[in-house]
Amino acid sequence: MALFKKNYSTKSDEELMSLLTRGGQSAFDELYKRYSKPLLNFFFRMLNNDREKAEDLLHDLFLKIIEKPDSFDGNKKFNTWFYTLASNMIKNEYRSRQIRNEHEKHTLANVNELFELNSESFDKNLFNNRLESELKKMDVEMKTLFNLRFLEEMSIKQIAEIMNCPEGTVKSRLFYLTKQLSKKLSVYKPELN
Amino acid sequence: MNMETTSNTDLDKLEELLHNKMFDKLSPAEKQWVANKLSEEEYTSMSALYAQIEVSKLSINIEPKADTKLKLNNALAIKFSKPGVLKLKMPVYQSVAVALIFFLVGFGINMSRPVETKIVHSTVQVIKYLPSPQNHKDLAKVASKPIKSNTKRKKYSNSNSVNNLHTINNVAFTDTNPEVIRQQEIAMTNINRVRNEQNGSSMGGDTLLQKMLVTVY
Repeated sequence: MALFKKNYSTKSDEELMSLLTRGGQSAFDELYKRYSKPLLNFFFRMLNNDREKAEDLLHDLFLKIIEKPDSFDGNKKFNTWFYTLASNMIKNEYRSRQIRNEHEKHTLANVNELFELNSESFDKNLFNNRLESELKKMDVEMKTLFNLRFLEEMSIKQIAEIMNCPEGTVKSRLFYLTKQLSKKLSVYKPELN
Repeated sequence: MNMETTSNTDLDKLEELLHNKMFDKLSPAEKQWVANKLSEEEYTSMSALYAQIEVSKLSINIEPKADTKLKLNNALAIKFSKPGVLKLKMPVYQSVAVALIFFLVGFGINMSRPVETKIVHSTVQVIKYLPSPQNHKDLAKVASKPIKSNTKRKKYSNSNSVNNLHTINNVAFTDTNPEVIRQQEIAMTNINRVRNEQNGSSMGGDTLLQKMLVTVY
């Protein structure tokens, strides 16, 4: 009945979480609609384009808020809290599967694919693959930092909360990271020099 | 650039410039400021990196599988499943309508039923004294003072050889004497009153007190 139907799209994430604690399917649908795609892409990038694993982590992440919706602290922003959970899952994944070693194999495969591309997209793909390759070599913390800042476009404050460190540390790490990456990637992109 | 000596404000400003301006678009003052932090080559390559990241982030854009959502919906349904009839969903308007119907029906029944009024009359006990028979005298001796102990009981005498005659202090003491009847009634009233005490001690189990009252009157 339209008279009593709630408009969930206008509700905040925190309100939706509150409704979810009472088993609101519509509230869950709205949260899934808002976060499933960005988080899948976040997992996908963090796990070096492992689609299956990214889907698994996405499923497990949403399952956490179904199983224990009360674990959300209402004083925090949902967005920050949710990405903190996602980052922790990534860290655990790195620890448990020693994902770095697998990435090296992936990189070789990607480079082989790269030479099959046409010349127009060559530079772009070369840069992307090299960027990916450099990110893989990085510490999981630095990689998370890069993704949150440049790909998820989060504020310094949010990243500081997610990574549980001061804002100044986030800024200096970002600066250092960008500088290092620009040095390494300049050879793959002539116009960078 | 020495990271230790660069303040957060400087980093914010530098990031903003790197995001928005190539080195040759910087003003002379900005170039001068940047030169204290980075070389021109470093600035140019970092600025180009920011631009490339903007482009490359669009290259990865995948959608979640529908299967993932279905699994989560099932998990949600199991987590918040209700037993039996509680599973049935009822719209709000139906619940309100049912409640309203019950209220109106109940109200109608209540209004149509006549109210029974019950008149309660309080009872008044009336004691009637019958005139005593004049054909014989019943004398009884009444103690001038209350007898204090059971050992000093009433003394009965048959000296006048009259049947049922008891004399105590020369007062007739028979079952038909109004004075005796009154005394008995007072005694019984007192006994009943003590027996019916709600908050005090009851005579129910106190045989000594009962005997004493009977003896006195």
